[in-house]
Amino acid sequence: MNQTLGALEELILLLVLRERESYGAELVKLYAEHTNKSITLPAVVMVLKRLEKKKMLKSYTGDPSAQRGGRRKVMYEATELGYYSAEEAVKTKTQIWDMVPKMS
Amino acid sequence: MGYGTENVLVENNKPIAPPKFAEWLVKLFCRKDYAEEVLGDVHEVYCWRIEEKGKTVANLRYFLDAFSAIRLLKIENKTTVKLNFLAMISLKVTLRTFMCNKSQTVTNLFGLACGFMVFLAIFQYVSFEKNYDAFIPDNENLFRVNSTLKRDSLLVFETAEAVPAIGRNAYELLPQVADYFKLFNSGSENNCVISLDEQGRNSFNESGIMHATAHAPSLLGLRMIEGDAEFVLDEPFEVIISKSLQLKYFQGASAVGKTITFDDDDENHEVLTVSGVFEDFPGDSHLAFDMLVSFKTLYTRETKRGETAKYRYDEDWEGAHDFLTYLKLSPGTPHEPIATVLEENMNAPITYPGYAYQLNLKPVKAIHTSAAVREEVKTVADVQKLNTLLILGVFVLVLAWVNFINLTTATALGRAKETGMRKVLGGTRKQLIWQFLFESVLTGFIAFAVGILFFSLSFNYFNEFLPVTEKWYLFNEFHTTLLILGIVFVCGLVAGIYPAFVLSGFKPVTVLKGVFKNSGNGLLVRKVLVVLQAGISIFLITGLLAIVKQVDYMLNNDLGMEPEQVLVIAKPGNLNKITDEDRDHKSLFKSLLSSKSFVKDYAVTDALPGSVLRKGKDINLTEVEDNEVKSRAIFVEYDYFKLLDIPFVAGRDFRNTVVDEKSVVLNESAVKALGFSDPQEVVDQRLYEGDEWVNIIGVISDYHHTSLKNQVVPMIIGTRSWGLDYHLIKIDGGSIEKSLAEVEEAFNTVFPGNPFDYYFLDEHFEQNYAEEQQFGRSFGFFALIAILIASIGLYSLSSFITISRSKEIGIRKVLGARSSSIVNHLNKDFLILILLAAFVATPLSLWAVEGWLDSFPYRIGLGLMFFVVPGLVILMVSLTSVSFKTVVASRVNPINLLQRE
Repeated sequence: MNQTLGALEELILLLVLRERESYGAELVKLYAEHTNKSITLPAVVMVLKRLEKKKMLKSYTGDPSAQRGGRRKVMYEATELGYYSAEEAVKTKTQIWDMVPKMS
Repeated sequence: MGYGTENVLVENNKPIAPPKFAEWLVKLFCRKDYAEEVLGDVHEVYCWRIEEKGKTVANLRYFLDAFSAIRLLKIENKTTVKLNFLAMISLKVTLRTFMCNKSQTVTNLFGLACGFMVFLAIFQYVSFEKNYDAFIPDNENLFRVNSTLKRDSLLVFETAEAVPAIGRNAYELLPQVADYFKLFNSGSENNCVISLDEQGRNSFNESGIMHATAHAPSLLGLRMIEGDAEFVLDEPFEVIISKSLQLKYFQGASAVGKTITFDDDDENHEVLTVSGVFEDFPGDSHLAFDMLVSFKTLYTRETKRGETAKYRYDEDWEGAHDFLTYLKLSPGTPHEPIATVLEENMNAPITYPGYAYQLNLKPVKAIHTSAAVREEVKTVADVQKLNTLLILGVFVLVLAWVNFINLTTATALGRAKETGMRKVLGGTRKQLIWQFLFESVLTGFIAFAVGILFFSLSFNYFNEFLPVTEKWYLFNEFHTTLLILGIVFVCGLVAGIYPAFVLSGFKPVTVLKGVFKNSGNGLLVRKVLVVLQAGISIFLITGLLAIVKQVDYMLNNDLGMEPEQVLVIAKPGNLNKITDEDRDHKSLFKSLLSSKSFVKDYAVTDALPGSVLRKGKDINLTEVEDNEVKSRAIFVEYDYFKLLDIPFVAGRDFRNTVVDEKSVVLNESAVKALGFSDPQEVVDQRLYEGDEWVNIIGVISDYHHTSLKNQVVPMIIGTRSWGLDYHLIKIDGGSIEKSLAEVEEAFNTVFPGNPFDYYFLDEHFEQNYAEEQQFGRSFGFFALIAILIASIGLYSLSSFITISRSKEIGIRKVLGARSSSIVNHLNKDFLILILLAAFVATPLSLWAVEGWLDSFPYRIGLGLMFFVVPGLVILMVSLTSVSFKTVVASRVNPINLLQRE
């Protein structure tokens, strides 16, 4: 597994994993809730597309709704590869973190 | 799971939608197959933000999202064509070039902007004149019936008006005629007075009055402010007025239901009820009116011949040509068969042999640009003048454009080194081509914007000689806007072609080594262009000179009479207020006036000098219909000749209208046309005029009755005391204001209930030349711009040449040449060019001017001035602009010139 995950990619992947399945607009909101920072939607979509290309996410097209101006949404769901990639990334970080001397 | 409410957000009963423009941005930037997803998501986020943070923030954020959607482009493997193009050009390089050659950029922009300004003004004026009546709904199916009378297939007259029965008959007989309306131009046939109350106070002379049938308002597309266009003119005594009249009469208050009183000099007196108010009828129409009275009002009038008024105004096939008649045909109907059917009806009652009527259905939109016919409501456009103007506009634009090409090329040649460097650093040829093209197109558009700015600033000035009703008339129509932008684009593109393709093709090594040289051909082309520019300028100056001289000549030439200090008062329209029917108003008015010291003379006439002579009479010495002389007839009371200082060459003036009822006075032209050489011979001769014998009692010397634009025609002057429409008062000395006040007082005593309107005869005469003066002003302006542009062109050429010959100048200086001799040496080249231009252009422009002058019967000759002045002006201007550069170049230290490598 040589594919690496960027910081934003990792975060979005984790959010999708937490929700089981999710889509762009929802992720914008979740991102804002968890980080207290705002993000533009195309940034999120770009990350989603990149993750899909890395085969860490898969997507299917949903039904149109009036809330979205009558357009269909695309739902994303993590693949097994996605799951393990996320796990590994988080694990690596936690391992290193554990080794960091604590500030008093 | 969803965010916000599950229900759709609603505001003012409409689902909330993000700004359209932002959505469009998203679509523009976003990859096609992601568009739906992204748009939907953005929409959802937008709704959620509205709830949380309010609309403003949500809108702002939406735009942010939209712009950042450009990131989604990067996902694609292939970059789009759009980006490819954008990568080819660099705005920064363009701006740097502009800054680097500041003076050249400014002159370039200025010259081209002037060209665009002139072109815009002319194009706007010409298309305005050519698009008359385009606002009338369905105008391609609306036709006016023009009547032509022919005698043995020779034209007797063509008039805009038709006989009474045409409209209704066409409508009832022919199914192809969908609708019709008739107009009776009362304001031009009679002097009309509108009073706001029955007592005749608050009265106004109105000339824009027409009687119109019920369908006229809707077929003409009148925009009603009050009242319904379909029904406003249904009943007798109904009237609709324009918004301006509403303001004038009622200070803008609602007018419907109010009454106004109509009086005219045919002694009609009618009380009319206002049933509607319309937006002022547009100026770009062949029609003009401020007030429409219902046609049925005419049916209530008395007529003289014992026939009913309805017959006189609506049914008579043999009646007077009095009515502007319009037919609305069903779409796609050919109009010739309709005219044929109507012609048959019309010619049926004609018994004179050889006479026949011909009807011509004229599309309303074509009326303004067709040949003038009798009784036309407005003067039609002079199409030849319009085309001349358009050609001039194109001339000026081409001048400016030639400059633009020259300057762009010159600037680009200075950038040869830059080009070479860019190629060395890996720039492709394609890139360079795009860069150069982009730069010149951008310059073109900037110049266009500056041109629009110039035009907008000088709009009021232009409007004096190229009048249009609206400032941005041109940009109302999409296709003309597109056309203009297209012209701008092509201008820029063509100017950029030389640098783009020639310069980018050079080998970098040779260019960087400095071996690069200007091709000889390029210089020759530029010299030819300079000759062209100077030639066009010479042509314009010659034209200007001719127009100014000719107008001056017409204004100051002896008319054969003295129109100065003559006050004109039109015959009052309202004679119904005068209590004593038998009282002779004119004598009373005259007696009141002649007691004043400032009144020198007083006369009445039915044909005002300075206006067209309308009445014709055939005069002859026998009753046989051969050799008759076509002449123009006017009627006066006595003192007319004395008032205008027209001398008698033989015989005497009228004594009074009773004694001289059967006497006439001729002018010299008439005497000559009758075959006499000595005016004394005809005095006391008998003359047969149409249907009766009269006595010639005197001959006056020829005078110009209309204007110097017309030949003096044979005239026959009779005397009578009725039907005389104009009072002429010769004022002598004293203050004009005081005299006017006294005349007004006398007028109000004799003609109560009439407004006092007056003008002076000499001003009335000068109006005849307004068109030529206008033409002269436009010519003057174009000539000025053309000279300006030409001198810019010369300036740029001279700077180009001095730079390319700088080494030569340096060597000459080192070898001991003086500054003055170098200037002379350099200027000599230009002198030759200008002389060549003068040599070619002078005969051509004189030929054109001669053609124009030939349309005037009384014209100036082409003196020496016309041969010398235009060339001399151009020579002076060009030497000045050339010397700017050459003098500077000749003064530079030769070291600096020779060091340059």
